[in-house]
Amino acid sequence: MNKAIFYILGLLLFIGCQPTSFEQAVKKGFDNYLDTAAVRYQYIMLIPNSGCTGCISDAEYFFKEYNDHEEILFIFTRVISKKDLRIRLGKDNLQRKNVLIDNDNKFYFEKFQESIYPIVAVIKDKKVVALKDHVFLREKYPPKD
Amino acid sequence: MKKIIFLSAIIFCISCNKETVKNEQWNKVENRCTIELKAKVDIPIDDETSALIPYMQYFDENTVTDMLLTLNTHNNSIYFFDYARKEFIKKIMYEKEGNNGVGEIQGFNYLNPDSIFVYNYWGMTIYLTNDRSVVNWKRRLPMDGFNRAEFMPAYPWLQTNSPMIYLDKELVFGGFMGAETTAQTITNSPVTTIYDFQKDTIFFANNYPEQYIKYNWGGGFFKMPYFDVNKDKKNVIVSFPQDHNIYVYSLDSREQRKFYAGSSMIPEIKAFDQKKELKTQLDDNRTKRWFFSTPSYRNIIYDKYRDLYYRLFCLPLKEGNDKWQPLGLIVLDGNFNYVGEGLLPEDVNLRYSNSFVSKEGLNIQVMTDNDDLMTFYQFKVDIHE
Repeated sequence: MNKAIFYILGLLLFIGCQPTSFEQAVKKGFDNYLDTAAVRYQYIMLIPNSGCTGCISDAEYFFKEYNDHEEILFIFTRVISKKDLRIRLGKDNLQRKNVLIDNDNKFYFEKFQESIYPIVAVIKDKKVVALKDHVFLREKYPPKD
Repeated sequence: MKKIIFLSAIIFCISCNKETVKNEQWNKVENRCTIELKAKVDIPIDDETSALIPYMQYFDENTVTDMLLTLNTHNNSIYFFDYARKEFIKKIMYEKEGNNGVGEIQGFNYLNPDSIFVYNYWGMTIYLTNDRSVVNWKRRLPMDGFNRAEFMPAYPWLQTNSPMIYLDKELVFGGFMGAETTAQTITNSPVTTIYDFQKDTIFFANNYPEQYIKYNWGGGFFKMPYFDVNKDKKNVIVSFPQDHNIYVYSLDSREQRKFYAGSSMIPEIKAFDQKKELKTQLDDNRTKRWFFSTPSYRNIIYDKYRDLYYRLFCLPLKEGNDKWQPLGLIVLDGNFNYVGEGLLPEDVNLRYSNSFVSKEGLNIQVMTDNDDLMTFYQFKVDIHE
């Protein structure tokens, strides 16, 4: 009986610790990553690959304009073709230190609808303090053209 | 007791009224063919080309044989490959602006070095060019005059399995209706556009069949039809994803006929469970989940070498593989009689949107881990008499 209670409590604890929302999943994923990151980022922009050939999203345009701003970490997730990404966004741009290609889709949370959209995390002291729509950064980093 | 029977009867009636399209010929036709994988074709591609190719055309006419043309949207070029030798031949790079500017190319149709039609989606404009990327003329499709509230022709949308085809001084296009709306009727939503570029006149054909009026099919690409042409018979053949039939439209008589082209693996297709409204709001995630868990039909391709028609279909995503759906092939003879069908390999990602027929058989692009190759599987159909 004690064993059964122990296992049930353990299971409940495990279930309770699973993210129940996209925001929770993203925060947990980013916090874990930032713990081991050497650089102090101010923002993370998470860009899921749309898979639409020829499509270049607003987030990707932003990346093309501001990838040299090292306070922003750009994470590309759910990448259908790395070569296609390289051709679209530039090989050199993708090799920058503040760019991460999420090969294992650690930051793609398929069970949440919001996963298909880009998102921006505001970072303070290596912790996510807010999640914003990807256009949030345009206030500080306006379009160059 | 009477109440229980009455309630059961109501529940039964409700369950019978599911919005579905039944396959009336399911299990009534004889399968007389086998489909065999014969070969794999690997073609090297350059640093500027990814395997995610949105548009291609196989060309094998007159003195030019076995040529594969592909669109590279990154550098706005048409690449030419010798398909038999698996080699790159040349590329034509187009300007986006200026006197020879064509904007961003969405698709093209190659006839000969002096006649290459290219299409710009955003401008709805066709350009006649040559292989030195010089523009001979340009024409904007006269689509603007229609009252969209009453008549909703699909704007042309080009991809390999919904191409632009030149036929007898006309250009034939396919498109789809993005919205799910109660304003759609059986006569106001055609998907085929036929443009006479000499007279600058436009004609529409092939309305969505009635199930698209009655039920909700998720909108957008989920209800995109596909087509091919039989140039000798001057027919346009259309495949709607949620219809067990194909529709054959004669460019001569301007009449349409319907032929059974369904699969024995698809007894019915259930519609998306949301009532249509004038402006239906759709949940992206829900429609996506429904679509990939529901069977549907895809490309229709004419095989001029064997006088056969091929229709592809997708089955629901299987457990253990949420990346691509099982793909099957239906074969019809030259008179659109059902011949047979079969499943294609499930252990590879067949990018069926890029399919074409060569002398060897049906070629379907395969996505592999090698980013520097364009890969195709070649299938042969054997018909048992």
